[in-house]
Amino acid sequence: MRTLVALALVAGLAGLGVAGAVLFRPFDRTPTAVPPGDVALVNGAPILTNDFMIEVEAVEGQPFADVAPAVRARILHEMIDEELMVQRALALDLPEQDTGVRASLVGGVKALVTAPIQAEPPTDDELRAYYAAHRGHYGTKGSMTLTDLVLHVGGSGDAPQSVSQALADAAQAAYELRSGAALDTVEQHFGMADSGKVSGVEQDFAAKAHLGAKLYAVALTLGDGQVSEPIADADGVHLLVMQHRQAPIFTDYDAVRNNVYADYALARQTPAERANLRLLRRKADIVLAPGQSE
Amino acid sequence: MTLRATRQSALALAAAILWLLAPAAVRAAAAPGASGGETAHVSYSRWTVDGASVRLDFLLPRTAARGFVAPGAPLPFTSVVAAAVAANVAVESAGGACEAIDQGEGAGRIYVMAPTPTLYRFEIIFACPRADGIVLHDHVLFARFPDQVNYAQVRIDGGGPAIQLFTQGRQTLALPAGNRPPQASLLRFAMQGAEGVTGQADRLCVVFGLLLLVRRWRDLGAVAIALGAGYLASIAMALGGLGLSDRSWSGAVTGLAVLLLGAGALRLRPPGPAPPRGWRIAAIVALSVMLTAAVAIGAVKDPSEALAVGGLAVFGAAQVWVVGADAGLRWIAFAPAALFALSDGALPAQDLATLKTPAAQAVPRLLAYDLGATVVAALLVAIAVAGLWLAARRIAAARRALAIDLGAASLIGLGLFWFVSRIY
Amino acid sequence: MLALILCVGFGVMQLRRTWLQRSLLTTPVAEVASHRELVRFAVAQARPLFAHDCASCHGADMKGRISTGAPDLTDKNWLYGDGSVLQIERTILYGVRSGHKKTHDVTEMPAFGQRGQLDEAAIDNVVQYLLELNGRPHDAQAAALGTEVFNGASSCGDCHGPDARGNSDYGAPDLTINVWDYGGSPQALRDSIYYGRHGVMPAWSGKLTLGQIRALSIYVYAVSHG
Repeated sequence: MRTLVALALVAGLAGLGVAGAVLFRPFDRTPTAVPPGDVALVNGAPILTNDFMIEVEAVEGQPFADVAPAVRARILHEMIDEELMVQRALALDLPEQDTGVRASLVGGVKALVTAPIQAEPPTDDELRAYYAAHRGHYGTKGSMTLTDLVLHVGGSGDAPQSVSQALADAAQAAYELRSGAALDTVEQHFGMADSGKVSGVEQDFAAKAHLGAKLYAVALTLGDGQVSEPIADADGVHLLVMQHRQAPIFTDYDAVRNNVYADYALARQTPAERANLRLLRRKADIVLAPGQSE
Repeated sequence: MTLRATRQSALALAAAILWLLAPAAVRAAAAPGASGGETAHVSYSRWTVDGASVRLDFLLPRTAARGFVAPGAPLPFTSVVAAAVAANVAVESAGGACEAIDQGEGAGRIYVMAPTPTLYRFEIIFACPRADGIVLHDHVLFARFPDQVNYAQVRIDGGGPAIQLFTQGRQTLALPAGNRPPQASLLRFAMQGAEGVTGQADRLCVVFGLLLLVRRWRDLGAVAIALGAGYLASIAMALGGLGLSDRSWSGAVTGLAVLLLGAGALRLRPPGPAPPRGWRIAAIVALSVMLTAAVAIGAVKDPSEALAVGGLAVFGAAQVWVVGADAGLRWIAFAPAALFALSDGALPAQDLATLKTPAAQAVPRLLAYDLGATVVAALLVAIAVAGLWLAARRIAAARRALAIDLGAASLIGLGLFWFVSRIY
Repeated sequence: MLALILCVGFGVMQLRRTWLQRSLLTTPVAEVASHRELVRFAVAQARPLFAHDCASCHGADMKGRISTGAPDLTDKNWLYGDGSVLQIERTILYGVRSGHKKTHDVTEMPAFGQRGQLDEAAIDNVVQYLLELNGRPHDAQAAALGTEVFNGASSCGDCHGPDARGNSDYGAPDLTINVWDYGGSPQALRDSIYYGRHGVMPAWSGKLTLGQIRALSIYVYAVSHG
């Protein structure tokens, strides 16, 4: 029994010793000794010896051992200055308040996240598939010069005509235009007017935005000098008169491979960045104010 | 069923209920966010008076910065903390209020110094109209944390440093003429130690546990020796440059001390040499919980902390075993008080070390603090024992034993709760 | 008694280990490889580290892997730096194209074929030129054309040097020593030029301690220098 008690005493003291060794540490005070592997401590933050030596060799272009101590001291001085500025930036909450710093931090995280993706080059098939899916980005944009004539119907522009009557008139106008009648003559005769939606040379995307999807789809089918069939739309019956159509010119894959490669690489980075953001959001605690949404 | 068996069953049931309810009761009575006795809040300041200029270095623990925002809100930006500190410190002289000056070169009126991982550091320089009649004001966070103590170091005109304490009851300090600023008296430190024991529930439970262990008047000596040894060990650790790696461990160790004192009181309760089976099971359960906590904390936080928890669990188990196995070694039941004193005494030692207080100044004040705590604890136990002795004749032995059992059971529950909740 | 002896012995071993660990970092990096005891200590420490962290890319035999482009660490040919302990340590610390701000990332091998900068014929000619440089069977006429491409519009010489002997500042390998990280067959050479190469080595700063990184650097240096 005495032995057990003695063993228990020893065990208790050992347990206490282990706990004390873990719980009691040297006071958190400014270190005076630089740890091995570091060349300096700046407010406790280390400057690695490796960084210092590489910096000296890079700046002086000579092996470290050949660089004069005074020069080494100067370079170390500059590295300490940089560390102080970085710490000052953190103390002033610059990562929260300065847009340039924030942009740099975001860029740094993106570079870390996308680094492994860059290691896998794409295959030719992948590039060609990407080109095919984004063909419109490579080449010149199409354009068109046209006039959009409109014949307003009842309730629109104070015109008394019905839709069917307007369609008939517009069909007749189209016939006459195709027969060579002048535009302003036809406008006067049938009471049609330029809708004003398009003017001059319009690139395809602009023409689409101005004409709307329905009229734009018809415009794409017209060649130089062609006139469309009457198109009934919300504000009346339209006739499209194409003066000149410049179709988009798609550059061959071989001619734009460099651009396709660059775009493809960028497109692969985006899912990685999004995946990283999903991870960050999953692990974050985000609270929105009432009435806010994102 | 015999009366004895009935009593034992009732006792076991009551102990279990108290074990569960006591922590909840204490938590309900404590302030929001507290678990019945947090480590007191501290901050630090260095005031250097040089003629009509006063430089203040204010160090604020990062956890204390929560006091500037609503409970549950995230930590504010450093600039917000700096502004809040600046708004709550002031200096005045015989000529009027002293302005905080723009230190130039982009520093501003309050210079944010490179922070440490645990402390904010701010520097403010006040320019006074006159160099006499200087009064220092520190009102930082006393409204939010009434128990806060600001350890201050004051130097005047190149003289030696003096240690002062700003508390809720004393937020200003008038400096005399000359370069010898007043030192906080040893009595003040003794009162701080005394308030530390009486001001928090877990420390009062340590006193209560000691009370339950005391059977004879000479046991009071064991109380004083245990506490004194622990406090002296904390001073020795401080002189050796060692302090607690995390202040919250003091609370956890206090919880462990409460647990072990309660277990010891239950183990040694009269009469009878054989421990009740229920106590063995309770002791094993408590030890298992602590070891499980040790494994869990190793997986969740830091394997070294698991080692610490495991070491403490082994110490506790060994201590109770020894006390129960050999009646001649019952004085070991008071050992947890020494453990409590060691961790409690480490806190003011660490606070004075933060200000790089010279040992010649720090040791007397630490001794005063520790003496205050020891004397008050022993005094409370003595008064309670005297009162109980006077009342003992009127209370049946069985009821006295029941009171000890229920009290000890409560302490075990509370101590276990505090220990487990504070190690995370 | 036995327990006491064991404890003392253990304590002495630990002290010695601590002293060696410290010496590994405090000994000037240019001299550390000449201390046999330190090298022995570093190698013993680094072997399991290499097996755990590096072998998956560089191979358990340290001979590299064509599939990943991880180079052979047993020879004296270095993509970056001069093969000194300092430069090896640098590469381990911050990696290659790892995303770390101090990583090696001046340039990469462009995908001349995929980007359309060189057609298939030009690439084949360059391959013949490379074979000629390395004393391997080649088509002399095509090699002559390849020389013009190498130093002409494709600007291979800008990175690999006009003499094709490489540039360790850029990580551009020496093309005259018949050492090929991605394979040296004509098809492999063609693929390297056509598809480009963009090898990535992770940065180990923050994942391994300075002492571990120093040990690995000495280990690699020792192996490569016999």
